[in-house]
Amino acid sequence: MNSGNGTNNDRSRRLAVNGAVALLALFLLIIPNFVSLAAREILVLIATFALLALGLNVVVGFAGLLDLGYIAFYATGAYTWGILSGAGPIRLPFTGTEFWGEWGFWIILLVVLGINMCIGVMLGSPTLRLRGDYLAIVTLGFGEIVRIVANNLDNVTGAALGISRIPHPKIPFIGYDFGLNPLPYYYLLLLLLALGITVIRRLDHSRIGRAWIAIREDEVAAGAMGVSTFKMKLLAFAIGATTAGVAGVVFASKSNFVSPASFDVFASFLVLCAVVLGGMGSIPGSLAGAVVIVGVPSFLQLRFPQLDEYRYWMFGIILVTMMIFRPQGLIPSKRREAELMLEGDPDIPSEATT
Amino acid sequence: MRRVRGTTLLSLLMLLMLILAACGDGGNGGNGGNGGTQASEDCDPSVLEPAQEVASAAGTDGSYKLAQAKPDVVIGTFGDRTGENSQIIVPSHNAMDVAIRQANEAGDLPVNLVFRPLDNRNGRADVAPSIAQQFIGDPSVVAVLGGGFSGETAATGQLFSEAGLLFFTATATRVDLTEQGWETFYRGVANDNDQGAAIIEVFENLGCERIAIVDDKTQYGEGLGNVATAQAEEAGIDVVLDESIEPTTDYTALVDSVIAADPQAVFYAGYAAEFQLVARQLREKGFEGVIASGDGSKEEEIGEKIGAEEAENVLLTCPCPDISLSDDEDAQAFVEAYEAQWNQRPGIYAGEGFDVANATIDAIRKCGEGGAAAVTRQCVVERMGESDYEGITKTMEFDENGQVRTGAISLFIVKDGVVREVGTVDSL
Amino acid sequence: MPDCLSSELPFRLAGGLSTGAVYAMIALGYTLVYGVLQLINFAHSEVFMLGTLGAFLTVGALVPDGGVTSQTQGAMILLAAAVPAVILGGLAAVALERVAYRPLRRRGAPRLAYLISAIGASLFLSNSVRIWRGPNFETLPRTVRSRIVLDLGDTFFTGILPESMQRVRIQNRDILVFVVAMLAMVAVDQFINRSRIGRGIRAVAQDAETAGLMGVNINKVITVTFLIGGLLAGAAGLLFAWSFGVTRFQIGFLPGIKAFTAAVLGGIGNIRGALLGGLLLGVFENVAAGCFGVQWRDVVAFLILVLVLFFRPTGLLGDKEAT
Repeated sequence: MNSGNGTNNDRSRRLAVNGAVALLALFLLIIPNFVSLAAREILVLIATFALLALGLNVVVGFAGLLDLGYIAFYATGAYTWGILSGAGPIRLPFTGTEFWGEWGFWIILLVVLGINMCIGVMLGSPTLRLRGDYLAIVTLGFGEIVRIVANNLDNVTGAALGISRIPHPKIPFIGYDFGLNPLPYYYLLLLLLALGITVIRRLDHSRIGRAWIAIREDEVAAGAMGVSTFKMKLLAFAIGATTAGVAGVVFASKSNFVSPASFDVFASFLVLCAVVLGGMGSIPGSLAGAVVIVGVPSFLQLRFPQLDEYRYWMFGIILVTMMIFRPQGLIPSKRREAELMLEGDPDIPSEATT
Repeated sequence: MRRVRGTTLLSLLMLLMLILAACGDGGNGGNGGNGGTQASEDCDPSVLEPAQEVASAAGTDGSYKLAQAKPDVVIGTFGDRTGENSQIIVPSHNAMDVAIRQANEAGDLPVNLVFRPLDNRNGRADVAPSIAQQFIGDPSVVAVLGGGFSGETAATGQLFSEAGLLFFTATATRVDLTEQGWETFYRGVANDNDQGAAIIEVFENLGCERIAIVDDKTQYGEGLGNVATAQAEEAGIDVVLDESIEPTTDYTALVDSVIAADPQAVFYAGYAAEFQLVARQLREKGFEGVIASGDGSKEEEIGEKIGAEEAENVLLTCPCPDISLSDDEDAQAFVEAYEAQWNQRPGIYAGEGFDVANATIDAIRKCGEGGAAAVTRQCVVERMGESDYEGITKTMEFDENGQVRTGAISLFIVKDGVVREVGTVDSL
Repeated sequence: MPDCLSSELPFRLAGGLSTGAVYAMIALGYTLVYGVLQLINFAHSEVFMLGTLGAFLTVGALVPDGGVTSQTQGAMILLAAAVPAVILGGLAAVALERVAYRPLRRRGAPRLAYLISAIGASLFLSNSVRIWRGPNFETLPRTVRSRIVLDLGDTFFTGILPESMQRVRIQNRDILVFVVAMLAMVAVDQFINRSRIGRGIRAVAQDAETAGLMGVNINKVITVTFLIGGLLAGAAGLLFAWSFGVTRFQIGFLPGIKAFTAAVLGGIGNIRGALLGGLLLGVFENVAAGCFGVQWRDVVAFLILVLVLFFRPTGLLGDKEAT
């Protein structure tokens, strides 16, 4: 889409798109200044889940892998910051603000990239060779394992009591402390989102992106054509894991408190629902999905807390109806749309066979 | 490539905004129950006798006039009002409502009090900050009476502290909540240290020498379980089994472990839903020892849920004496008012909720002597620190961390499916 | 660990088998559907949940005011309640197939779509029950009372049996659940191997396309498969609800994943494998709880799943590849 040989029509369309993106960006930048504190908290929540959805979209949308334990990577990110910042019960030479100084948050943000990449690869390498539905259940199990382990390692994760008094990020030199104010976190998340979108878009438009398409469409054929399907799937998995980890670090530093209760399997479903609703394989789609799935219920809950009861019920309806009537999502990716509408799995007897 | 350049530009713009945002900001007394008993030697709870009968009375719904022409001042609270363990929270909210209604009717305040309870379904810690910000962002809110559960309270205490807004819980009992350095946090109820010590004292009294402690790995259950384990060791009671569970339905594995360890008593630190399943399955597999739990499991329908036969002699501790048994006049007046307004007996923590609300109202009253404008967040917090309000459950005097000084633990026993109060643990 | 195994296993066997028997009955549903559709029916756990709810509603309606007076009356009521509960399970499974799967098959959707649709159906079903019945456990009235039928801890056995055996206590429910699971497995096995439609199921499992060309009505075969799986899950739900005396919207989640693990352990697609896997998993996690602590029970079960998939994706008895 980017490279066309610039007819007038093309150019004006691109201008329009760019203009719309710029307007949207401007809107996102100024919106928190016009809303209440409670609404700002929700904006942070939305932005966090948008980051999560961005990462899960790579796994589910690009590589076609159903990861039901995605929230575990969010947990490992949050706990890494919690533990390394010295707020946890464990004391090691490299935990604590004395060691990390005021750069701590930013360095650990990078450390988490590495750690989560490793965890992603460690979990991915035995499981990604399995077929899709096995992967789904194994990741579901993995997600529960992470939660239960966090709930029981009293001396490392603080078990059910969690880790409290996790330090807030500081900006070195000007000595600014983020504190509990939601605004700086919101802008930080926007920044991370912009970075993430840039990187993931580039990947999608590179050889790697084309390999993902090939894997989704026909893994066997892709393998035969020389695509290293396993490595490509692993890469997608690792990208998802790191994105979630970054979101986890921000979440932990914002709430200055982590406990295993935040990372149950329903949180994974929540992110999945955002990606499916917005459109698997579509970056703007999954972001919009996060806004709808997290934002709408949260704002509604400010006024009508009893509606929370219907939240997961609605998600269920959304997932089924989307799969039946609009599998490509609300804001579909063009390439993915065709696949989701047409390609079937040869193993599953379709109704046409009868 | 143009789009990419656009995104880079966008990122720079956001960085700028980040910096802009960074620069632009600168914000028992109890009833002394009379069901005394002697220490026994064979770890048998049936020696405990419930205190006197409860006189229940259902009243009619009284209407009242709103005080007019005074500025509104909001007292907020949040907690699990509709979720799985809402039975622990709702009575205290109802009691706060009673207190505030009475204060408005009395008409001696320069302001009109508005009660605003918000629902944090299932007490979720991740949702709690946005609820807290709703209170913080509204300048007419001068006090927030809790966080119902410990988890949601832990997640928001710092926010209230920084906003200088009184955060005063009647139900969150986790020990370390008062040790976080929050400047506006107060607790009007005994904490899990007291409760854990109390249950061990009960076991000692009953002559139990080998006990099992099981917790549910929630913030509440784990804390209480740890305290009980430590106290048991101190008291020289042998903890033969110290287990944790993940909530489920089939507790076969736990029950087998308990049977194998063969303790004389099991203390379950956790909430009602799981406790009921554990207790029933223990009894069905022939466990004959004492089964005990804490305030999280105190529920009126416990006999129905576990089965009257299996629930017989189950012990429950709670830093919440049954207020309807109190012979204090004010307490009886409260019970009447509560029943008139809500058409039911005041449940768990109702008395504590009433006291917490009244101590707050007392602070507001003192501030209000300087006129309606003097009722500020700062003033209310300061007055609370000096509080010596005489409540129906205890005197609201606090230590330097905001923990109420007196806090007796009451012991309850299930007899014929009904939860009956034995008395305070130290009176046993 | 070996020490622990020998000391824990004897008295954990009965409980483990009765837990495992429930897993096995649910696992049969997973395995049957997997046979014909090559799909994991993620919403199967909610069929089980509806079985517990059906049991709650029917038992509640049948038990007279003032409760059951004798074990026989209780048994009659439980038996009578079984019919609607089991049928509810079957109907739910068939409806699930119609709503969440068939439209996708019509379109020939990719595998991912089925999984997401099933998760959606699962969320929808459990939360519908939550909205209708509330979030808390609901207690079933007593029917057949649970009692201990064999207690090796009796003084009679002192000195005769080794100490670890003396902790063995077997309840009437352990026996009932185990026997029903065995009967169910035998019945399904016979049905698949002997009946006409059973042949159809085997044909579709072998090669759907060829079976279709040979005149097997694939839609009918699939419907019947879901129906059998649903009936079994309904029966499992009834036994579970009776055993523990409760129902709740979320009650199916853990047994569902465990049953899936059991199906994989035994070899997915293999009917006897489902039974073997269920019983083994039940015993294994109960023993593991004794060795490592009760809180690690579920972790051990999930680790088994990962290890089996990694080292022997066909399971103990299976012939289907997982890759």
